[in-house]
Amino acid sequence: MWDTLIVQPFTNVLLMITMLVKNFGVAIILFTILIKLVTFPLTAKQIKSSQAMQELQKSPRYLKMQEKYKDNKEKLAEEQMKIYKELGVSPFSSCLPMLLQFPIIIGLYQSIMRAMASTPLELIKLERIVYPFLDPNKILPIQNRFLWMDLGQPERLMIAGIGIPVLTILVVLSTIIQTRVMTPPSEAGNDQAAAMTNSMNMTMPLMMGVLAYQFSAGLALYFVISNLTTVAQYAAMGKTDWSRIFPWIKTKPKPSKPAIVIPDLPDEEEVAPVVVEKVNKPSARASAKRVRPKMKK
Amino acid sequence: MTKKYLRSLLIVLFAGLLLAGCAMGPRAESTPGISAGGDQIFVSYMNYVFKLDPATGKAAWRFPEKSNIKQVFYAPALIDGDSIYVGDFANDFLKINVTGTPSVDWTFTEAKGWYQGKAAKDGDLIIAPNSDRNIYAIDVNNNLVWTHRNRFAYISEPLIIDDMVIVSSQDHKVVFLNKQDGTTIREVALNGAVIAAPVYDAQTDSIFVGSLGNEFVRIDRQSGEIVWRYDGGGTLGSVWAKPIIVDGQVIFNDKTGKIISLSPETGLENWQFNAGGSQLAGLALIEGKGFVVALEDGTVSFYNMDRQAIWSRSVSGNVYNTPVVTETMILVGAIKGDNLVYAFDFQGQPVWTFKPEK
Repeated sequence: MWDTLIVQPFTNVLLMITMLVKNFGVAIILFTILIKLVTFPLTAKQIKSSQAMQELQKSPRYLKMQEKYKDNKEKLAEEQMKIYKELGVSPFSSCLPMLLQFPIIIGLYQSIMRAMASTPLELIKLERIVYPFLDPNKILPIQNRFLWMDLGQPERLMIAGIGIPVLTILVVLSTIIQTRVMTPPSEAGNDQAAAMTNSMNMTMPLMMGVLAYQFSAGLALYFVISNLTTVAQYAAMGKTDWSRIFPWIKTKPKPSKPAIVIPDLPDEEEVAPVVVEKVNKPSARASAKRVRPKMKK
Repeated sequence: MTKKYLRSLLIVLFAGLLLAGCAMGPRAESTPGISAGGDQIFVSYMNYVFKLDPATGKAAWRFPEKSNIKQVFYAPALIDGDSIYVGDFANDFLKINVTGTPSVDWTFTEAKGWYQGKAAKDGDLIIAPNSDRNIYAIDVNNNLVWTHRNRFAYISEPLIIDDMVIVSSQDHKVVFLNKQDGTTIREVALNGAVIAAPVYDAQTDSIFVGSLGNEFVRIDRQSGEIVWRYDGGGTLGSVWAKPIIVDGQVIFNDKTGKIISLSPETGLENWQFNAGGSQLAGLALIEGKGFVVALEDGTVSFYNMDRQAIWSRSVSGNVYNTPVVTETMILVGAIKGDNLVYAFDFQGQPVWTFKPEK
């Protein structure tokens, strides 16, 4: 079922592009961009939903509500649900487009793996899923050479007898850029969230690097193009803060139209006035000074 | 800013170290490579080459003793007296002394791709096909004699006849090389990729081979001319395995299950029948008795030369490789089944099975 509906059509489209451009590496690049364009409406929805949630969580009304019910988790949850309902946002609304994209991304990955058949057994399996009108017996196997790479095998560029995994390095770098673009800067005071974001920003590139190092170069090529296309899509929506990736660039993204309009509380009296502390936290030394007992001379 | 860069640099360095340490070896799906000669049986599968006891099917030893995750063996070993020659997926080609505990005599490390096909040997010259698109000619002392480069990975066993090396190419060709220096004598174009190894018939001085382009051809070895081409009137499927030549017939099978006998001289059909299922493995000849057919679904049948099915057995798993015939047994390799190798006597009685220990 999965193969028939997802992997087989994807593999055949990939093979058709290969036949058109006569180069499997270029076909992987074009196919990845094509799939990213097709799924762009979902990506855009995901970005907007995520932005709406961020704006809501930064709004004075939300912060006041959190402060008011910080000791009553149940009531807080109830009030949060109310505000989500009122504004038509949901913390899960950015997950749905992502979930819908998953089968497509997995299908894309599997179709690239299938098309790069490196052993006779893999070739037999590939031959069986190629549509008859493509005449599998004539077009197979696919020429796996692209630049210096054999796309069916892990990539190493031999320089002075040392195999340098260029594509792996590109995967790590592009994943760093992509995660920085996709994850918003953490809010001051939210140390736990900041730690989680940092940990994610470090582990994702490493994980992708490990995969790229061990799997076929074709897959690593897909990772690089997919990452760069995602960055381009964020840039096209004006959501990229380039200074987070390239610190010497001082420009910030243009302030975009708010994703949601957050009205004030209907009755302010119900909420006790909240003293918003100054953002600048006291330094650790200052705090230590305050609590340090005086030493007797 | 400097701190940030330093941190990024450290991350990249750490990633490099981690990658070097955590590499998990090549990712490829393949089938067991079985070879037999005299009283020796070797099986290449995943991280080991096993030497099996022909009487019991138990592993006498495995090489390497402790697995190296990057070293994967699928190419059948070439048996040469007390040594075997076998290549791996770590791009190394090894000569292993197999008397007693196996020990590596030498390792040829110049290839950049996987060794999937069995090597061939003639005198002091070893011809090893590699996925890096090269054929490597190495002497018995591990000196590179020549290389020949093509557009596609070489994955099938070369054939050495007199001064020629003949090898199937996935580039829809059969390539004839000069054995002395590896220069191309000629390339014969076919309709599809040639996965099956070619077979030589001295009587007609010709090469017989099938391709994925639904054809089976006779190529004159001296001129490179395609003497005849058989396609069964458009009904032949793709040919994945090498033919057998016996009793003045060339017999081969196609993927759809057809077994076909042709006249080597004229290419005219003597007979054909359908074995009843998809078959990627080739026919295995038992001299003077008949031939063994292994279907993908694990059905193994023995036919006499009058095409009568004498016995049929079923093994667990899928069979993609041609069964190997020893002096007394038929060895069938299977994947995704209960065992890796099944041994039958010529009457079809199971002798033993082999499954690598975990």
